[in-house]
Amino acid sequence: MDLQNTDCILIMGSNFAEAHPVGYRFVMRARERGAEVIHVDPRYTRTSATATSYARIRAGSDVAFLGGLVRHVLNSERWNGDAFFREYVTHYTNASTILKADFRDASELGGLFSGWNEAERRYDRETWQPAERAGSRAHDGGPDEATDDVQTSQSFGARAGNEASETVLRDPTLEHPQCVLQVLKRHFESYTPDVVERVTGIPAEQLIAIGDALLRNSGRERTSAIAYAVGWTQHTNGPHLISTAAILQLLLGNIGRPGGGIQALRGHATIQGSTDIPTLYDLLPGYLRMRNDTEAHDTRRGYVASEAARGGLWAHAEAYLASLLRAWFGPAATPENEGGFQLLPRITGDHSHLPMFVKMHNGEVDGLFLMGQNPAVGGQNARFQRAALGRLKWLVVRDLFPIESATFWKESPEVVSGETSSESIDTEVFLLPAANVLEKEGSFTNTQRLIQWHHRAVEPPGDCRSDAWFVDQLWKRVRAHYAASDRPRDEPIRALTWDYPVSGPHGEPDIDCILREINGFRFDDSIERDWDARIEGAAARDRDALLRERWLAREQLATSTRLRDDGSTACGCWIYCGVHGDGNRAASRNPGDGWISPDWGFAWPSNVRMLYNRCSADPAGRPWSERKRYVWWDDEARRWVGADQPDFPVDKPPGETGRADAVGLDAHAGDAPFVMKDEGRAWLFFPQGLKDAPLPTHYEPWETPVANALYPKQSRNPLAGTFDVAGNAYHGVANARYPHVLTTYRLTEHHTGGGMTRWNTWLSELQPEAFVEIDERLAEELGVTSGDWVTVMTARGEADARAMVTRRLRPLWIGGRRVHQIGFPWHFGYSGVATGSAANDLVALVTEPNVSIHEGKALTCDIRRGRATRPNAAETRA
Amino acid sequence: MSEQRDVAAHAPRAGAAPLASIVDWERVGARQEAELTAGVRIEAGKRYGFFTDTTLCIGCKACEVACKQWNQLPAEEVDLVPLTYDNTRSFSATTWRHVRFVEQLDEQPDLQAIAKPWGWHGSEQWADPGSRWLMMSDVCKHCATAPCMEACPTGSIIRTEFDSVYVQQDICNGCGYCQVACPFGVIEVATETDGKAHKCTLCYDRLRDGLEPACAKSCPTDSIRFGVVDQLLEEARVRVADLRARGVTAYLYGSGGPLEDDCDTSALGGLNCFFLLIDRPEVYNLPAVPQRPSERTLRGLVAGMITALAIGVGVGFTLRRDAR
Amino acid sequence: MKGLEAGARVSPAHAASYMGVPPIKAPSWKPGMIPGYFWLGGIAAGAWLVVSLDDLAGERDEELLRAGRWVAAGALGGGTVLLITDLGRPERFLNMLRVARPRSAMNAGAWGLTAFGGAVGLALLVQVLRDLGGAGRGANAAALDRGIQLLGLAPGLFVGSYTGVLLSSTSVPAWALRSGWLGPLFAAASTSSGIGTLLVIGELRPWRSSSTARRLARAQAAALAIELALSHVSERPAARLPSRSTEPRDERALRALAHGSAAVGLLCALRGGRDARLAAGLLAVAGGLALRFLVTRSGRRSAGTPEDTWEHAR
Ligand SMILES: Nc1nc2c(c(=O)[nH]1)N[C@H]1C(S)=C(S)[C@@H](COP(=O)(O)OP(=O)(O)OC[C@H]3O[C@@H](n4cnc5c(=O)[nH]c(N)nc54)[C@H](O)[C@@H]3O)O[C@H]1N2
Ligand SMILES: Nc1nc2c(c(=O)[nH]1)N[C@H]1C(S)=C(S)[C@@H](COP(=O)(O)OP(=O)(O)OC[C@H]3O[C@@H](n4cnc5c(=O)[nH]c(N)nc54)[C@H](O)[C@@H]3O)O[C@H]1N2
Ligand code: SF4
Ligand code: SF4
Ligand code: SF4
Ligand code: SF4
Ligand code: SF4
Ligand SMILES: [Mo]
Repeated sequence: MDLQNTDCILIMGSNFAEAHPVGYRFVMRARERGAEVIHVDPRYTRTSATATSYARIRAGSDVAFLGGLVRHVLNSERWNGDAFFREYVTHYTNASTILKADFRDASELGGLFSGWNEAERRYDRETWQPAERAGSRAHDGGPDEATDDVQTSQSFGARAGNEASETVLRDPTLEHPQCVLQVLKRHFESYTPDVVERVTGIPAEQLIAIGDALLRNSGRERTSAIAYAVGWTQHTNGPHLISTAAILQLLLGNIGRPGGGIQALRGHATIQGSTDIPTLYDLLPGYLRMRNDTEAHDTRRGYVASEAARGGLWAHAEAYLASLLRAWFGPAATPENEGGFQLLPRITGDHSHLPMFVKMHNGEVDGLFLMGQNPAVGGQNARFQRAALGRLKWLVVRDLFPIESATFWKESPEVVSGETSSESIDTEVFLLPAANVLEKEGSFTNTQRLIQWHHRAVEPPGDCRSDAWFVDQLWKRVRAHYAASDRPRDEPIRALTWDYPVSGPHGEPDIDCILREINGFRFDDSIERDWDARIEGAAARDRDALLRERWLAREQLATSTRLRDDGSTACGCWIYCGVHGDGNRAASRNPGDGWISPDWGFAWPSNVRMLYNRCSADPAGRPWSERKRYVWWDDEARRWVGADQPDFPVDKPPGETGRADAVGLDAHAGDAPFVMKDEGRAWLFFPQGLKDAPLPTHYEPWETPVANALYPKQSRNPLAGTFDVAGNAYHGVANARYPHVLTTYRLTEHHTGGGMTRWNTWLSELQPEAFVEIDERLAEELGVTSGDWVTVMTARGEADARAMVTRRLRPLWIGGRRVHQIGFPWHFGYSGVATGSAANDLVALVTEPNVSIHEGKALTCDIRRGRATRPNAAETRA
Repeated sequence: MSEQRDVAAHAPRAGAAPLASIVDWERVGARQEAELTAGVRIEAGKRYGFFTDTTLCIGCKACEVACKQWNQLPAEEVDLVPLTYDNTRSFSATTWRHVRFVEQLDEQPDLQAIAKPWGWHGSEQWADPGSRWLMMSDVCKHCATAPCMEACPTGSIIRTEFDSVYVQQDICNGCGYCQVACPFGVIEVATETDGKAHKCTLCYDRLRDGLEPACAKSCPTDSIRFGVVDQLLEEARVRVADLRARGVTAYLYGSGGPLEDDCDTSALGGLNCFFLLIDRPEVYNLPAVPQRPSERTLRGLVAGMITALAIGVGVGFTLRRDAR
Repeated sequence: MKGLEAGARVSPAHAASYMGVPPIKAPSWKPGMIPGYFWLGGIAAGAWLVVSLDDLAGERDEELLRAGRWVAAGALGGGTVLLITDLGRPERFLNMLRVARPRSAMNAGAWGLTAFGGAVGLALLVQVLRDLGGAGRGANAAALDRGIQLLGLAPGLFVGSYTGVLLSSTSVPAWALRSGWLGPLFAAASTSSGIGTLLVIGELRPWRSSSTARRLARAQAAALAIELALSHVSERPAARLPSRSTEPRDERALRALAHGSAAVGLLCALRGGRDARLAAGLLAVAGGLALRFLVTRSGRRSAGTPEDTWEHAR
């Protein structure tokens, strides 16, 4: 919502208007207020059409472009001439930190950084650390390489580090050759406009123009924003992309200020919520790491030592953990089992989506619950994923419609073409009807971390039930099954609290109670025991009423600062603390000013609408300008005040210095806005966090039409995860057989794998069938016109669809040749009303090293006129 | 299961006659929902309509779907139109909102000799006909002198208390005359189903209950603005002036007066639903100077009668008995 | 466009269409019904007109009057059946009589049709009674007959011509541009095909009076001449429509048929003689049908041609 205040927005790697139309209203408002809207995309889309300017980029080359912008900014007169930038960067980032003398940059080492261990193919991150005063004690945090193989999912915490250490060397003049700013400058020095043009296809002068637009619209008086989505993330260097953007915005002083920031436009309605309270295998709620099988995690003490920082909010990781364990295990969290810590299972390896499906394909997985996922369409190398589903013993699909993942054994192209047969697939598939969002209550957490409650509008029809109902029923059966077990490994199952009352015609669990548990409450052992006894003794029909009564009686916590590590508090997700502090604040509905609207829903943490908003004031606590005032220090009231809840200790004066001996926020100075960070300052250089680089670096996609013009010796990410399995061959670099770039994307009219749209006739009529977008020139070469069938080919397979020949796509001049980009919306599949080839049948299994994201946005392919040789669903339907 | 979820498979509601409002707003003294969502209070006797600012449209088609959903209009059997994102193509008895997409992109200059990068226009490239993709959500214009209404032989088409043009389903006889009278191809007879004429009702049933029309409410960018026509016109004129100051060739289509030399909707006495356009009307499939067919009726009937009589007299002469 | 800054770029007028999608709708009428109704209604009106005028113009020709009444009744009945078939249900016709709206050609037509139908029905009743020996003869009876014919004359003239106005009061360019002419043209065509029908009847079952056929042939010649002239003139305003230049073969054939029949019919009527008169009558009737099909068809195509609308609505 704050985007409406921006002066310039760079939308890149997102089709904002098409995939986030409702949020886009704020962009349109900004545009009408005079903001520049710049869209950088391989295709001219509905976003480009409504932007004030558009640049066409080669898919997968964004780091080069953004690096070019960083270089342009750092070398610009404006950046070097306006004191604002230097002041912001010096105080609010780690620009002044001096790195170890033996750190070597990718520009010196041909695309790799110092610390590369070729034999083990991993980095030793020691040289990426800050230089310390001679003779100082060895830090106890530092790089945490031991967990590299098991922690492969999203997280954002600054893990234990030593940045806050007072022994770190700094140069506030930013002149030291080994200080972060100088290292950064050297790193991007080779990203000149001409080189960027050769890599991205974006003309040099356009890069300069966009850089100037950002510079013009950044500073005391003006702010620029950046918005991205999965056009940036789904790459083997996705995190590099986002961190380049972060660097750019920090350099421009656009973080934590109104109209600034980086908007990660999240996907599914509550995908933000499902990372906060994660469906990810290696995270616990609130971005605490899942317990893993490294030595450090043997004990709770070890876990805390490796996960907690000294400075910032992560200093209290133990309180978050203890409260979580209390919420989960209640009275069973005892001192003997370290407050429940020993009841936590441990992960032993990479169990993210693709490795899991590879195991499934190998026959190592017996059963699978698919609750709101359609990998037969949305999964990379969907053919492979369908084959994997066919090797399960059982598969439970809970969905609104009979989606492809439930019908693959009879309707998939492989079965229809006779390549395989229904008889040869032994998977027993259970299709269970799920209630949809309008038929149940719950909350959504959106892109701006806003938790919003939704009420049930109607009861679900027929046998449809909510997922909560299903999980409740399933859990009660599992618990009964293990009730008599005395095996230690079943102990967590027996210890888990499950005290949600059920009600209504279907016995739905009370979601409000679950929100209360997430919010957290004071846990008093004796009171809890009394309740337990009362409930135990009550008649069965009174139990649910009593359970609810107990929830109402539990004293809700108002903020996460009240969480304790001694078991006296229970909290399902520390960052959500406060959402039910004073009634269900997610359900509050006061539209307010339509900007901050503090009484509309609840934003984590603590209803802060803009993270790190201390940055909106200068180091002395004064607004940078009248126009951009947001949160500032009121000297009379001796507190931080402003439009939003300050994301900062409200009474810490700007001039305060951090106390070296303190922990948590007390360790931070009054001008250290980044409360999550160890040191309280944002990183322009990442001593840890990323496994594959301390600075974002342009690597080509795993499949690329050209070698890396910036680092010829290191075309691709050295740590990309590849899968040597049947049907998953890669094209490699500049493979002449697959000369074109292929990119996949969404259409407004459909949603992801299509479960919610391709069965709906109103939406299906708007985009009734798969199609492939190609440029006029390529169409001419192929001899096709709009409406003709074309077949796109990769080493993984073929997919055909009708061609949409359009000037919205155009070839680029890259590496001395014409490169065509082909667009294939990936929503379609073989079941439903609107059908067509699944673009994902073409995509390879390959992952990024830090977060295991696949690369679905940039690959290479060939194309020919006519239908695929393998019949596909569209044909068999006709 | 798919039966349970067949959300869109209903025939148009036949015979939906004007409904009595459920709520007496005056008595309740409450705020209408429309006041919250559109900032306008809906009262009988005022002229309501839409101001559709096409420069704000992002082509999301939410309006099209909202209309179908609210009015329970069945989807159509459409084929992919592989030229465009507009698979709807035109209005029909079951499509009362329609979003058009006009690609106006210059041919690509020679790649190797890019002098000026394509698609870069400094500012407002969306307003430059060389690099734009126009989107426009079209709807029944609720014309002041509505040709459909004037043509209707049964009096089925009436003007409501909100000054909208409304087809009373129980009176329509399916003659289809309105369909050929409408200068905008809006209204259509559902020949396959109930054989009656259908078009946008300006959400008459919603207005009666103090709700903003479904399409306008769903529009994320407020490209469709619902309100009292005179107020909308004022807003629109300000907007046009603003855009022109920015160098955009904006003008109003359907504002009632001859605003531009060669675009004039005054024959229809003004359109309650009018549009801000930035290219010629034909580009959006709209006639530049829509005519009022009924202007030809009386004249034609009299001319026809007179000539018929003249012919009769002429022929009558030849009928005289042979003067033998 | 006025008021736009110099150099403002907009598409040139006429350069555009929206992917060829028609901006207006073609009629929903079921194929054949409406031109058929126009044609039959025209025959009824034409036959009524000619026998009434004949009655007014000279001595009574009982035979012709009777034939005219039967033709009018038969054709009108047939036409009404076609009209109702197009509407779907008979009571739907009645919906048109709930209101009187002079701005609606179709409403006016419905009233005209009703009035004409009343006159024709009355005439038929009298005729049947008379033929059965009732209703008397003599001066009073003649006055009654004349009165009835006169009563039906105005609605008859209306029914014969309003159908053209019905078409030109639409947004279909090929019709709208011919406004002012389609009514007269249809009036002429109605007259000629009404006369044609009587001619044909007379040749198949010869009149008792030999002058009847000759008189009718002269009338036929006159009507066809007027029709041809009006055809020619009325086409001019629509000739500039782009859809005219892309006229498909079948439509050209229809045009040739409509105009050719009228022209040859005219020659035949002038030539005289039994066979020629028969041919003239048949050609006039067939030409009338071809003309109605031609006009509706070209209108349908015009509605489907965006450029026609641009030409019309500017
Ligand atoms: N209508 C609709 N809305 C949705 C969804 C939907 O399916 N339909 N899905 C939701 C979900 S789950 C998500 S994750 C979000 C995704 O939202 P977005 O990321 O905005 O959507 P996409 O269409 O996948 O990709 C965005 C754009 O990235 C471009 N692109 C591809 N490769 C590159 C590249 O290398 N660089 C750059 N700069 N751009 C590239 C594509 O051309 C495309 O226009 O949308 C959410 N919203
Ligand atoms: N090539 C390529 N592949 C991609 C992407 C891309 O851009 N390019 N995008 C990726 C992204 S960002 C995403 S998020 C994934 C999405 O792909 P998937 O994760 O497979 O997600 P969906 O297809 O949205 O499947 C969600 C299913 O949940 C069902 N559903 C809806 N509501 C409920 C409910 O309340 N309960 C239950 N049980 N089911 C429900 C829907 O009907 C639907 O079938 O695809 C990824 N795949
Ligand atoms: S589908 Fe929902 S989340 Fe997506 S843009 Fe529309 S309202 Fe927002
Ligand atoms: S636009 Fe057409 S349907 Fe709508 S009121 Fe005007 S004439 Fe009638
Ligand atoms: S179809 Fe119905 S609404 Fe249209 S003109 Fe005929 S009676 Fe009137
Ligand atoms: S006003 Fe109502 S009926 Fe008319 S287009 Fe909008 S939603 Fe449809
Ligand atoms: S809802 Fe609004 S933005 Fe979306 S297509 Fe309709 S008018 Fe355009
Ligand atoms: Mo997503």
